[in-house]
Amino acid sequence: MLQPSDMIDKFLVITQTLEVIPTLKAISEFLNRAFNETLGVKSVYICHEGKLYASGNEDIPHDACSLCKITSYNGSGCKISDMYGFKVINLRTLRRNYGYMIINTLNPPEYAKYEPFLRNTSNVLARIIENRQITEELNNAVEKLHFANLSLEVDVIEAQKKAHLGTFTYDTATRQSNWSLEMYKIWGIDPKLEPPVYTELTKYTHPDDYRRFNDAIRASVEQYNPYDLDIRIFHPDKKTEKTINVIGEPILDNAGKVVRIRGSHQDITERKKMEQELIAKNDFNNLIMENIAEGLSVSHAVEKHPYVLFTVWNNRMTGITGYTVEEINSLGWHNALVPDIQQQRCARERMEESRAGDKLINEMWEIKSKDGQKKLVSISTSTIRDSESVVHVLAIVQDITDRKKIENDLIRASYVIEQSPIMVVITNTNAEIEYVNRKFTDSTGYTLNELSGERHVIFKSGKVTHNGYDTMWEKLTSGRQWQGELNIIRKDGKEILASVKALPLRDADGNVTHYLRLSEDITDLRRLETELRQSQKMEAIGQLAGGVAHDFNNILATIKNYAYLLKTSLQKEDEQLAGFIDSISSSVDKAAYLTRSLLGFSRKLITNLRPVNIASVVSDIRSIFESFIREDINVQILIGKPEIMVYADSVQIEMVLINLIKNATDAMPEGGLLAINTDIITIDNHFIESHNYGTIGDYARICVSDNGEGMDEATKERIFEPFFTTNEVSWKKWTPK
Amino acid sequence: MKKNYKADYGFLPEKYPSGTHMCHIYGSREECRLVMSKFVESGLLAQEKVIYLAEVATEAEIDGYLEDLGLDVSEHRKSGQLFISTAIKGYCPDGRFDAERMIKAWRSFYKKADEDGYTALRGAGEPLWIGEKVPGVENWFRYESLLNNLLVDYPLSGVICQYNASKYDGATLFEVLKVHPLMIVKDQIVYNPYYVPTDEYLAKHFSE
Repeated sequence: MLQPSDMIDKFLVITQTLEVIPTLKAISEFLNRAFNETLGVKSVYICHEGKLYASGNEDIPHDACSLCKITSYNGSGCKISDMYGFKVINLRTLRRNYGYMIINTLNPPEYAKYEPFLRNTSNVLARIIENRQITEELNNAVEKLHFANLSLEVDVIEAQKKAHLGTFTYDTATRQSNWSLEMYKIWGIDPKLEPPVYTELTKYTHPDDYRRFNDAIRASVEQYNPYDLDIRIFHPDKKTEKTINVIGEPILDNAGKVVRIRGSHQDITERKKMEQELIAKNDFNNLIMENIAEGLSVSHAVEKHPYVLFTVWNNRMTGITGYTVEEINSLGWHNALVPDIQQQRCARERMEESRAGDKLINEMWEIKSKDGQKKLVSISTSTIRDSESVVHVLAIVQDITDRKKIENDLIRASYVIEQSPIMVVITNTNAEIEYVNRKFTDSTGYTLNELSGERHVIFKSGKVTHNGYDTMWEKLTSGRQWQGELNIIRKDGKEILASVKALPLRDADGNVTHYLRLSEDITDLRRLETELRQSQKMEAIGQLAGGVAHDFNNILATIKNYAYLLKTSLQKEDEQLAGFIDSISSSVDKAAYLTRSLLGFSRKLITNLRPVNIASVVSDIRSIFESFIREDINVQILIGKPEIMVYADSVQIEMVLINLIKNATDAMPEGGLLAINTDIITIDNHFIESHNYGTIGDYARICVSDNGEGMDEATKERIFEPFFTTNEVSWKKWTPK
Repeated sequence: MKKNYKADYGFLPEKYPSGTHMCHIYGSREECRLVMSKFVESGLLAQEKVIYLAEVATEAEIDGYLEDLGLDVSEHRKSGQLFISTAIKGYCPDGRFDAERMIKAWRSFYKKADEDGYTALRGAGEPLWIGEKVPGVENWFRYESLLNNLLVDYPLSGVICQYNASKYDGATLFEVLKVHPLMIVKDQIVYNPYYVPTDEYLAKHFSE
């Protein structure tokens, strides 16, 4: 059995040796030999983190032997637990269990003697394992930190290089400086040299900046003021000039005395150059901005009143609103420009939506300018995001008050023209149509598309001489207006008569750019005028006839009676006289007929209106006219319907028919065909449009036609005139020779 | 040489009697450097002859090795007070290790140092080569054990055998313990309870 002192010595040596043996395999070999030769232990194994370390064997991975709760080990394939005499000791520290020390002893009773030794050894081994793990973790951490530091140093050097920024510390006591590599580069000094003292640096400072630099450093040391200023420097070669930004911060000791100044110098030559270029560019931009014809503003949201702060507000904005940027920011744009609460709410919402990215495009707002005028403005916005992600709203504002008024006037004028009852045509100076109003298209049947670009000549009827048109164009091209009447051919070929006023249209400079033709359809008017004249003429005749007809009839009756008495008084041998008396009687009859006709025209004739069958009237009249119709005239009477009932005076109808038949026979001196037809027709709109008279309904029609010589236009125009006749010649026939 | 001479090893406050044979199983280069630099430096200061068979591959590396130890010993090397050589050359001059030849060499060194008037002779070496297949290497621990007998008649003021724990297996390290009566543990010299006296050790391990 081990004696205590011997045990302590051996324990000390073993544990101290274990401390320096680096691997568990070597430790297991060492313990194996030590315990074997000194304690009689057959073998020692160490189980740690899934591996079994044993003397003479490879480190054996194992899942779990039954001893260390993970299975099997053994080169020969048997389990350790199956082997005899194994004792397992935990490799445990206060922190955790690191595995097991497995003791294989051939003599279990002896184990008890040296178990404390083995347990103490296992405790030391556990602590060694723990210390090594901690050391390894620490080393790893230190290594990572080391690499991180190295990386950081490299990064700092690289960053300084990229930023052209050097750092320094200046010891106020020793007046010595410590410079980073980039400092040397900035100042153009060999990095192998010691950093120059600051008084030496001032020698390389631009004369205009020297005092500021010197004062800043002095103030930093004496008054603890940090400094930040831009200065110009020269390299020692005096050829290179740079602008650098110098920043210094005093470091105080516990007594409040400045012991160091630390700071940086940054080469900002390029930046300065760009800034100056930018300033020049900005000046130019500002010049443009202030002189553009439209209002321009830039604003962004702020947390407090006025909630929206305008940073750009050009002269035109002030012109439109009357407010300066200071006033608008002081009052708040919404209060100043949109005082109506309801409108203000809408306006602010729109501004918010605009800031959120919903662009306003030519949106029309009504604002109130500083002088109280209501103005209409058109606003378009877009957003800009600056480097700090602040959203700025760029607004372009146009004052459209006057333009809108003109637009409204034009819209009204255009509506009036479009709805005008007068035909309006606008042509260019080549007489090509550019505009026609609705009345024109309705009257002519053309559409605007059909007419657009067409020359005005398409409406020419040919009834106006070239000279007439020439006169019109001569006047127009000389800048004067023309007025007259023109016949216009509609699309369907029909003709309308128009009263036309044509005049040139001029631009602001007085140049003729277009021609305006105002036309009024006077076709109906002219027809009505004709009809009116006819009507008046008839009325005059009627009044004249009505006034004298009664007395004249009495005279005729007297003449006829005396003619009768005279004839009865004659002898038979006075045949010639009797013929004269018959002529007198016949003429009296004709005069009486004429008088009755006059009374008819004057509507003073008493008519006997009653239901009459026209077919019967026409049939019956054959017996009347057969007595005086010539044999060379072939009469055809065609009755369309046997019964055509009308409300009329049958005597007057007979008179009309007899007159027509008589005229027809007169028109056919060489003989011919006389046809009389009766039927029922319906007058509809189409009939009315075609004939310009009539009332819708069913009517009896009597047609009397012949194939005689016909009528010329002059005769046609006068056929409805009372007492008009072409029969003077035949009348003379009856005149006694 | 003085009888009852006690040597100062430099890394301990105490002095130790001549004839001390110690092993130093170290875990770090720093630990090795601390012990060895003090041991060599203190020996030179004590006017002892110092023989050091350093674990360097070539002679050319010795200066760097000494510089690493922090020793400025060029004068001592010139004077011959410090003999430093590579371990392989010192232990195996002809490429093989001969335990008797080595024991004989120590005797010669001891006599020469005595003749040269040094107060004592101390030696140190690090036989890293024993991990290699050098002829005669099997007799290394026999040599280490015989050295204990040698020191009885030739009491060197101190012999330190350094072993880098990371370079040897566990069984070899325990074998080191068996042949050194003392060992350096950290900054102490302790009695080695695992030491086996030379006759017993040789009888057990090297008997015919």
